[in-house]
Parts: sequence; structure tokens; C-alpha cells
Amino acid sequence: MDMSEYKDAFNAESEEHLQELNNSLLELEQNPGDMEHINSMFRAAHTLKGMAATMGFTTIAELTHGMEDLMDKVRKHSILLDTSIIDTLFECLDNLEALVESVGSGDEVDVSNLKHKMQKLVESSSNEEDANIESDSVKTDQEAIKESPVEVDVEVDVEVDVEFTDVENEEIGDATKNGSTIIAAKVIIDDSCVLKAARSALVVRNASNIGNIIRSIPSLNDLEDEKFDLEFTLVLATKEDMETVRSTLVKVSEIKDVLLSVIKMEDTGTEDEVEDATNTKDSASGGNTENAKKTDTVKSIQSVRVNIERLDNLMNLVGELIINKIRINQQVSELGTNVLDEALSDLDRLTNEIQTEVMESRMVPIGQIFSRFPRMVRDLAKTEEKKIDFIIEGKDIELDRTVLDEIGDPLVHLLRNSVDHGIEGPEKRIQLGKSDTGTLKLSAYRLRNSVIIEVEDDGKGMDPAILRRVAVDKGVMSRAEADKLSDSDVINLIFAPGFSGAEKVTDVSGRGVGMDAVRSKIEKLGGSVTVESEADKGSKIQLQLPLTVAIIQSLMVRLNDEVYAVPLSNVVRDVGINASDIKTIERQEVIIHREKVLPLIRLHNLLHTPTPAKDKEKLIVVVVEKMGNNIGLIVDELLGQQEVIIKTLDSNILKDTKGFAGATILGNGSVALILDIATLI
Amino acid sequence: MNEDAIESTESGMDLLQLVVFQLGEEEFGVDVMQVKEIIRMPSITRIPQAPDYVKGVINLRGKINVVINLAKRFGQDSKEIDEHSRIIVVEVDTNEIGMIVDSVSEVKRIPRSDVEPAPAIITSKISEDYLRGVGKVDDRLLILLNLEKVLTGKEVEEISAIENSSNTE
Repeated sequence: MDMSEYKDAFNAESEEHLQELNNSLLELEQNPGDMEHINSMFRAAHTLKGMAATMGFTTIAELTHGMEDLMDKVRKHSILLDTSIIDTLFECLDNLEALVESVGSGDEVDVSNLKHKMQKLVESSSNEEDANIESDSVKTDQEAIKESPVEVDVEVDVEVDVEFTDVENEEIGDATKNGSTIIAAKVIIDDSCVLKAARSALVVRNASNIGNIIRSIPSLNDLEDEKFDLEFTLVLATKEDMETVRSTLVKVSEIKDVLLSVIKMEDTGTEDEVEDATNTKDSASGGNTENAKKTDTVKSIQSVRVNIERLDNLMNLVGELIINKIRINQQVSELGTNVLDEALSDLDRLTNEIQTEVMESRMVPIGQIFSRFPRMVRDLAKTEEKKIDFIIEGKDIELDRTVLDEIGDPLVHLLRNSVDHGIEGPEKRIQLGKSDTGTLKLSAYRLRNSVIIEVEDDGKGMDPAILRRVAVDKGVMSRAEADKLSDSDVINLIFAPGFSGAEKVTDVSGRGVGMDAVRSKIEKLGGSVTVESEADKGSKIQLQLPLTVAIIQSLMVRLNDEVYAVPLSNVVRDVGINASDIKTIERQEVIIHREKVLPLIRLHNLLHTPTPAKDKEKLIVVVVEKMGNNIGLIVDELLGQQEVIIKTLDSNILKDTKGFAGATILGNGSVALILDIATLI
Repeated sequence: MNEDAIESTESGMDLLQLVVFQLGEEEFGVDVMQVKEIIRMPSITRIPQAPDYVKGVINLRGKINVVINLAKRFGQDSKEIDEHSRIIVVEVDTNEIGMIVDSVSEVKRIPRSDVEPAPAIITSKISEDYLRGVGKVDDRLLILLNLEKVLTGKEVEEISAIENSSNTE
């Protein structure tokens, strides 16, 4: 069985568990007495260990095992939870993160020192009765199971009601003649299991090692696709005895139970007989046998997992739909007819609704990004020896996934700035009459059609005088120019390229990514950044982000010094041609391309920009389609394919201007127009 | 054009607060309540096939704003862009539009009673439809614009040209 397809799932799940561990540990650091957090950490570590062991990632399993030991001691109060333990646990999490990331890359992270350290901590505990705790690390999945088995005897009747096909009946007949027994194994997966498909795959693999799988309910394909609830049944022809079968199947971790019954084929039909009901293994929570009796009814499906690529596709299609709608509206208004008014307003409404629905389906809670930050802020504060109270608000606010993906880095930058340059050290703060603990607040809220994210600190703020001086020193502007600026304009200087307000460069900041990078990223998403700051009072940086974005795939082309976006949906291909091959038919330039006459249009003329030297021999042509006809557009250069966010040009002044579907903001902050082939040509 | 056409400012007093800017030989005033911001010249993306007075579009903190060449809008020659050139971004009917002006000098308060209909010397240069009147400040005349008309893209020149010709007949 190829496990590589489960790696992505493993990584995703692991990250969730690591996040949980991080969060709980942060809480625990604040409230060392709160056992709930150590319990939830223990659970997360345990699950992670199980998953890693199943996948054969022994280092991760060993490390989590060590963490469990350590946390177990803490839980039993045999070790006092002090900073050294918390730091060690944090170190473990960092290593685990690195390990999870390196999965599949073949890189190994050396954790032997850390394991040793933990073991020492565990051994230092005075509690004698813990001496028998396995100090050896977990190597394989089998051992992972041995670790804390809770044995509970259950008596459950397994009702396997299977109608076999003729082929299957034949197989069963043959197998029986060969001395095999036909066993129906009902496998019940622990309800906390997160990688059901991986578990079932392992059970199936183990089963096929000891026999021949005749039937799987649901089918093997459905098992792979995780199309089952918490249990599935395998009908197996095997020569092994019941006990071996059970132990082979149950050794996959997170399998709650395996119930076996022998199927005897008789002339009268199929009769199932329960011969055995087996042990329950429940490692995490200690034997909840209720689930074993779960009914087989299929729950109606409330949500579906959709591949992100599919959502992106849908989004692109909606973008194109909108462009088309604009085009139709434009052309109808040209015709001056009102026959289509009703149909068009329906079309308007429908496209808007589709857009809203697609947008909604892409919304993700912002907490997914925010949850990374408490740990980061803690670590930064610790290295900088600052005391910081980090507050997060508005985790539930939802944002488009595209936006969410992009704002992580800018937020990291802003938070780092606040910790590094904003909030002062404790002594300095006391001198200034502030509390020694600085407050850093990260909040999100909805404001009409946008989401506002604020990073606010009560640190030293920005001093306009210093900003002016730095601007002059860095050559951003002259002294005279700087003096002319108002204080609020001066604060906006931090967005100027090459400007960094840091008085000293530390390892935290000063990496050359400045506020200009933050701004360009946010603006590219269609958002905006504003800063408020008062010297010695603090700074507040506000990001305004759009809730929704309309994105299309475009081919970027250059004409002289101008850049235009051609929607990829219009582009057939691009070709290089020789100027000498151009012919003229009825004053129209054409070229024979793929044995067809391809009319050529010099985009320069159409867009009123000077045509480059006529004697240029090699020309680049973008072949576009308009109403089923191919047309070649001569451009200066192809700049590549790119996703662009459409912004409409909905100004009254431009209502008679044709040829453009909108505009988009490029990475460098400049505006590029999006060509609308249908109205342009 | 009478003074009632000019809305009072928030001050509630009979004062109009105007952003004063220069264009060609004249001084203009635009109600501060309509001004979103005043910026230096950023890079402007030309819009081919747009009316000639449309300079292009700019990226104003992530928003795309149309920028017009005000002098061209009035059918005058525009000065070359220099270090004094500014864009005044105004909001009209929820539309934000930037206007290129030669320079911006100050913000002035004038009593509303000092606003009078534009004299012929001005209406001969700029269509009356674009004007709200003139404000007298000491010995200066500030031309007050009717931004709704200037910026809605309606081709009032033609209409007023017809009116003017019929008046002179």
C-alpha cells in the first residue's frame, strides 16, 4: 500500500494537533495549575503519536511518546511544572513541527538530545512507582498500542448480513474446500480517529497478508475515499485462526474493536453465526463501549469536503461570468433597446447570487491564521526580554481563503514590529509611568463589505521628528520636503520603499521587508493600510481587506512601457512570427498560420501607443478568439500568466469607453487594464 | 446661479470652507466636505479610447480611481505636470474622482453671502454649467465649481454652446 497519498492528510492533521499543543501550552504557562490544558495536550500528543506510528514516522512517534511521559508526570503531580519543563515542551513542539514539515523530504531532524533531556526530567521525578514506565521509545505501531491498553470484555452480537454474488459464492466455495475459514470482521474505528482512510487501508493491508478479502462493505474504493462512518466489514477467507485474525487487525492503532464471526455456507443459504466477540482496545479515553453498538444507518450528509483547486476554478469561472455580463450589458446599451431589460436584470441578480455563494463557500475563519501568533509573540517577547499581554479578538470573522493565505506574512511583520520596536522593555515602561507589561492587540471585525484587522500596541509609537530625520538620512526626500509634510503625512512615510523606522537592526526585524512590502501585498488584494500613531502612546495599524475578490487568470503583455492583462479565457495560443511573412488583404494585415488566414491587429494602434520600429523582424502574436474567429494581436512582450483581481472601472466618465473589462493592481502597485477582447476589437 | 445652491458647511455658521487651488490663470475653490484627499502625482495608467480629459487611473491605497485633467475638461490647455501639481480626490455621488490641478495653496473660509454668480468674463472661458458662482476673498475671485456637473461626464459643452450661440443671436 502506497502511503504517500496520506502524507498530505497527515501533515494537515498534524499541524492541527501541533497548533492545539501550542495553544494549550501557552495557556498552561499562564495558568500552571490548570489540569484541563495538560489533559488536552496529552490527548493531542497521543493522537499525534498514533498517527505517526501508523505512518511509520518513528522519530515523531518517539518524541511525542517522550512528551507524553513527561506530561503524565506533571499530570500525576510527580513533577512540578516549572519553566524548564515548559521550555522543554516548547522545544519539543518546534522539533515536531520541523519533523512534520520534513516528512517526505527525507531530511531527518536530530532529536536525541531533546529525548535525553526529557528522560532526565522524567527520571528526576521522585515518584518510585513510575519506575516501570517504559523508557524505551516507541518504534512501531504495535508498540504504540501496547502502551496503555485498557481491556474490556464486550459481548456484542455481530450481525453480518451479506448477500454474496455468484462469483463471490464460488470463491467462498473454493476457499472452504482449501481449508480456509470464511470470517466476517467488523472493524470499528475509534471515534477520535482523524485519518480513517489510512487506518482502514492498514487494516485491509494486514488482512490481505493473512488471507484473501472476498468482500468489503463498503467497497475498497469507498474505504479509500473515506466514504464510511466509523466501521466497516471485511469478509475474509483465511487459514489462520480467529485469534490471529483479530490480533492482526486490531494492532492498527486507533482501531477500537474488531468483531469476528464465521460465515458458514449452507445449502439453504447464508447463515451467519457469531462465534466470537473480542476485546476492546481504547487507548485514549478508556473504554467507551457504547459505540460498538452503533447502528448502521447512514447519516445524511451536512457538509462535503471540496478540493481547494475546485473552488479556485469555480472562482475563476465566476470572474469570467462577471466580465461576460458586463460585456453583454455594454453591448445591449449600445443597441439602445429595452427588450432585454428584464432578462438582463435577472442575469444580473443571478450572477450576483452565484458570486456571493461561491465567495461564501471560500470563507475561512481568520482564527486559522491568528492561532499561530500567540506562540510567536511569546517567543519574541522572551528573546527581547519584554513583558507582553497579547490579546486576540474576532477569531471567528471569516475571510476569503485567497485573502487569508496572503495576509499571514504581513501580519507577522506587523506583530514583529510591535514587539521589536513598539513595546518598550519593562524598566523603560515603568520609567514612562506605564505598566511594565505591554499590551499588543490583534483584532478583526466586519465593517460593511470589508474586514478590518488591527494591530495595536501601547508602546513608544512613532515620533514624527525621528521619521523626518530618517527619511532625510535615507534619501527618501530632502530636508525641506520633509519639513513641509504634516505629522500625519510623515507617519505615512513608513510605507515609502527603502524606509525602515528601526533605530537599530535586530535579528527580528531589519530583514529588508519593510512596510512597503506589507502595503503592496495588502493593496494587491484590493485592501488598504492606514496607520495611527502617537509618540509614547502606541501605534495602531489597520488593514482593510475586501470580503470577496473576483479573480481571473490572465496573460500579461507589454506594449512599450504599458502592461495589459488579457483574460486567459480569450487566449488561444501565442506564436512568434516573422514580419516578412505578413501579407495584406484588403488593407488588413494577415498571416498564414496553421494553414489558415489569421488577421493581425497591431495592439499598439488599437491602444493609441507608438508602434515600435517597423523593421522589427521577429514579432510576438497573441492569438485570441472572438465569436469563434481567431485574431492575432501583435504585442511587444509576453510577461507571463498571472491571477489578477478584477476591479471594475465603474465611473460615469468611462461609461462610453470600451475595450476594458476592468483594471487590476500589479505587484509593484501600478495599475494595469484588463482587455475585453469582445468590445476592443 | 444663486447662493442657496451652495450647501452650508458643517460649522453651521454661514461660512463656506474651501480648498483653494490654481489652474491656469484662475483660482478655484472646492467645498472641503467634498474633498477626500489631496495627493502628489503618482504613476498614472493611461486609458486608451477614453475621453481626452481623462488622464487615466491610479492606485489609491488599493482602490482604482479615475483621474481627470481639469484644464482639458474645461477645454483649456493644460500646464505640464511639475512638482507643484496635485491631485484633488473628490467624492461626487459616491464616485471618487481625482482632478489634476496646477497647485493647491490653502484652505479658506468665506461667508456664503460673498458668493455671487459668475461674471461673463469667466463664463466665456468655462461653461456656466460647471460653475456654482464666484467667491470674493479680499480682492481675489475664487471660482466655485459644480463638481456634479464637472465630473459626471455629461457633455455639457455642447448644450451650453448651443445656448450661448442662441443668446448671442
